[in-house]
Amino acid sequence: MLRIEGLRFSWGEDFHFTYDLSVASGEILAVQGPSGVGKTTLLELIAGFQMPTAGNLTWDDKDLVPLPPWQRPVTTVFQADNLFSHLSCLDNVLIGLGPEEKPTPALHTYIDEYFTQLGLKGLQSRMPSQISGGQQQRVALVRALIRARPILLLDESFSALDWDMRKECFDALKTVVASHEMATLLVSHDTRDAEYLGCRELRLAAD
Amino acid sequence: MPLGMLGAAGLILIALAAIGALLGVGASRPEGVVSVLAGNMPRVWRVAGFTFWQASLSAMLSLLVALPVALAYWRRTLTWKLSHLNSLSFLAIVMPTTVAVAGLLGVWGQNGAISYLRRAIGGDGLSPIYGLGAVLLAHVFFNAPLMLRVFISGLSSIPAAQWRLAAQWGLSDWQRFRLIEWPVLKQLIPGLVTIVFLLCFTSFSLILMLGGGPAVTTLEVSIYTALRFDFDLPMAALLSLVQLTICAAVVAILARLDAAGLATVAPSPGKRLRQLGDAHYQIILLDALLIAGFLMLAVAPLCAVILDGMTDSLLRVITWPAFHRALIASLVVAVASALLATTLATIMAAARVRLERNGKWVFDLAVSLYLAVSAIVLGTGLFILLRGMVDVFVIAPLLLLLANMLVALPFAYRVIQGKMAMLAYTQDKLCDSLDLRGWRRFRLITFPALAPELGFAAGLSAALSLGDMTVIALFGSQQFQTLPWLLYQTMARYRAEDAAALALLLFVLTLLLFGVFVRGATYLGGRSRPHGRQSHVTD
Repeated sequence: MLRIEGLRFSWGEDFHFTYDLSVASGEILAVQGPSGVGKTTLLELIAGFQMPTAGNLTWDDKDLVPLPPWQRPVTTVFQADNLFSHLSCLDNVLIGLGPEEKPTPALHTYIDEYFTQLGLKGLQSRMPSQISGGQQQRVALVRALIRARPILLLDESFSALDWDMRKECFDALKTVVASHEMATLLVSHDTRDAEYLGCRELRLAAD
Repeated sequence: MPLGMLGAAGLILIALAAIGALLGVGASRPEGVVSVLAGNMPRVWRVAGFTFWQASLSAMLSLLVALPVALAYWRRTLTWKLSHLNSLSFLAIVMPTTVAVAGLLGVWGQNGAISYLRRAIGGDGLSPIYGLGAVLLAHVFFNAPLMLRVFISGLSSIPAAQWRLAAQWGLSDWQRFRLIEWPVLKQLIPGLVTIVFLLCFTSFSLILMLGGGPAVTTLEVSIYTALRFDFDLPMAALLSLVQLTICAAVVAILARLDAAGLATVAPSPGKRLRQLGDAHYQIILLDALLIAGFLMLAVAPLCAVILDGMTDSLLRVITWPAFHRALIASLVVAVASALLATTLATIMAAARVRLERNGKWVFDLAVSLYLAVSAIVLGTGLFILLRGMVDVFVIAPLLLLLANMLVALPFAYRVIQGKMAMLAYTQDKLCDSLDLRGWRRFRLITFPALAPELGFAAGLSAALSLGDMTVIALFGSQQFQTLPWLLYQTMARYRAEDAAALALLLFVLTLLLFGVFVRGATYLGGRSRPHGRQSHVTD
């Protein structure tokens, strides 16, 4: 269970955010609200790119605040630029493994399945510049899945896709979130996303 | 980061030690520094005044050549195949000064191509080119192509939409220049003119070879003469300090201009569209003349180097033991200096992006110092500093390496730092979230992305070192020679054919070494894969 209690953050003098929420394993929470209300800031606090000024942030009762980004049980799919342009799609997925982990044949089979499931069949050896923006986002999602961290943060990850493609991604997402029991936060500005996923919504409002 | 800080501190320390040594000697004359100053002031003023004058003229002339040619090039970019002109002008940037002098003499000299043509039609040959005219010609040869490249990249950063509007509104050439092209160009001019001024102000070897006498001498050449021929250390120190002060002022001005000007050139190619005036035959004729004139200026000396060098002398020169020694010395120093300058620039650029706002200036200062401290000033300072401790001529190779590395550093750093900052901006969060850190991140992510810049920086540093004729002039001896020094001495002995052959060899070597670094870095960058070749088995 991801638990956030009275987590505070300020951008300068004028913008103060306070967050209270919790997300269970295997649950998707859609975070919505107008621009500038602090949706991305929330994900950055969880990922460790920003430090809170007060409050609690815990995963299964373990305090996450003192941990650097790479030690947190988190994986993020950003809005854009998730792939390294000099690596093939497959290498971009494999780079998600830690320095000690070696890719096993079983893992390669998993990856091939995910590629197929997300409509990326046969694109493993392509370079990022040779596939569309939507395909790039889905490759990043495959990487997030093989990293198998218990918290998945999706920062407008699919907003650029057309609705049909987004539905396909969401179907795949629902399956893997359930099977991997990931606590997932999805930041989006489209209310259809939460409806389609049938998930809980958190509507942020200005302080 | 500590390594980067250490590098920056080391750089500042070396510059301060050299400057301190200059100050110490300048003030050590028995009659006191004031009387040294008073006694020599007229001479120092005269030399400083001339240096200033020729540098200003050179910068202005380069601008007068580069600006119209850039516009002509840009007008014809769609219809004439001119991309090779841009690459050719790049050759002038990496070309060793000694080779350039050989090429310029091959075109404009008493026995050059133009004299030959004039004699063939029954006229007289040109008179020998020495003095201010020759120096200006050489400076324009080196700097007009540099300006041309910056102007063209500035013009290509104009968004395509503006060209569409200009074409739709049917703007005349003058209106288009005023509304679209000039606003971009005028931002670049102050920074560019200042850089070229600085390069010409610290010009040494061109003046030494083409100046032709004491009337045409710059501060750099006077420092060299005072140190190497008159053994007048206090005078050398005094001249160095004057040179340093003026250069520091120019660098300070440059630092202010640069941020606003050159930094705005973003390589986002906005494609030019056909414009109303493009088909006017007067404009076509003008462009043809401008481009042909530029080719005459920039490319003819290159051709002269190649044609004059391809003689029987070539086969003779490559058997000289002196050539072998100079070749090995030049190559070792150039490769070592390129690797050191690139490594240090990378370490410092990496440390700089890790710092918050405060403290970044330390790195920029450490590097910019060496724009103000020219190779001759640095060499003179190091000479004074070390002369009591070691035999300076014995450690000449090390001094040469150090000076070449330091002189290349500002350029290498500039090339690497911008890309490094961009990579940090786009990849920091992603890499942190994927636990890609330290050496692993550098090897897998940063190095492949940075490889073109690293290769270019190393290639440029190697070319600068290979062509260096400044520090070697201070510390060279019969035992320790480099190729430019050997070429200079061969020229000074009026062995024209041997000199031409050496010039060709040095030119080819420079291009080869530059190419090896650029290609080599790209090759190594392409080999970095997260889990070796096995990651490609599933397709």
